[in-house]
Amino acid sequence: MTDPIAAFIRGERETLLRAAPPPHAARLWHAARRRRAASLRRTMRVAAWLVRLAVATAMLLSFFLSLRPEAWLLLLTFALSVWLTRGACAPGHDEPRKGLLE
Amino acid sequence: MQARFAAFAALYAAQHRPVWAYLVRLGATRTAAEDLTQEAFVKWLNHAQWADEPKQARAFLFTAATRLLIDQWRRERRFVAWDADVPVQAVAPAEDGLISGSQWAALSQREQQLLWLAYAEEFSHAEIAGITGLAADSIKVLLSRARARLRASLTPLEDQDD
Repeated sequence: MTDPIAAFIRGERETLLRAAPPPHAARLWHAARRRRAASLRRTMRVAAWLVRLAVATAMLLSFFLSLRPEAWLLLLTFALSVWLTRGACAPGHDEPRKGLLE
Repeated sequence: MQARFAAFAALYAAQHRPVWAYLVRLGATRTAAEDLTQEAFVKWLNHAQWADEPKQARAFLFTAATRLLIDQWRRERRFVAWDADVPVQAVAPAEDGLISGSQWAALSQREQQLLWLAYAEEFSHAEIAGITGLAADSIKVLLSRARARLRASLTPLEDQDD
């Protein structure tokens, strides 16, 4: 004897499954990869700005603590850090959270 | 990469419609359910151990879908009355006629969720506890109450048929 509750719920499920939109596995896969790449870019941008900030802070500390390092060396270090992180700090386009397949 | 995509495509083909149906059953609109289903699968793709057993994948997807739906309701500042006796969802099903609202009307959203997970998706009590965040010991009792209430709302219909 079949359980009427289970039969009723499974009937509802079948109705819903028939009405469900078709799957788009490939498109979702590529959309997810794009989103992961965008997330990685955001992380790299934050890290790059942190590097620049750390170098600039070190320069200022060194100056105010009167360690008197060579000024050209400090400037060169800062310029080098800016140049090395120029790609990561470039403005990018963040992917929208909703509408993955649009 | 090909093997990963093949595994993902197989899981997506098998579970996309059930997750969508579950969200619609909980009161999401068709389009919102589609968006949230995709979000759940993206979460699964980004999950560190996504090549787990298919059974674990199902539980992960339904858990993620549930949390995403609650988050969306919170963003919309909608009152999430999981344990209230007043049926919350009525708008979306009434629009498209996908769900028979009257039979479910006597049940709280939590009871609807539990019944759906147990009978439509056939999850174990432990898996349901994981998805809903309830204590595993309470699932059996809650399901029993939900069954009794649904049976009470189904009985008049069966009598009418007779």
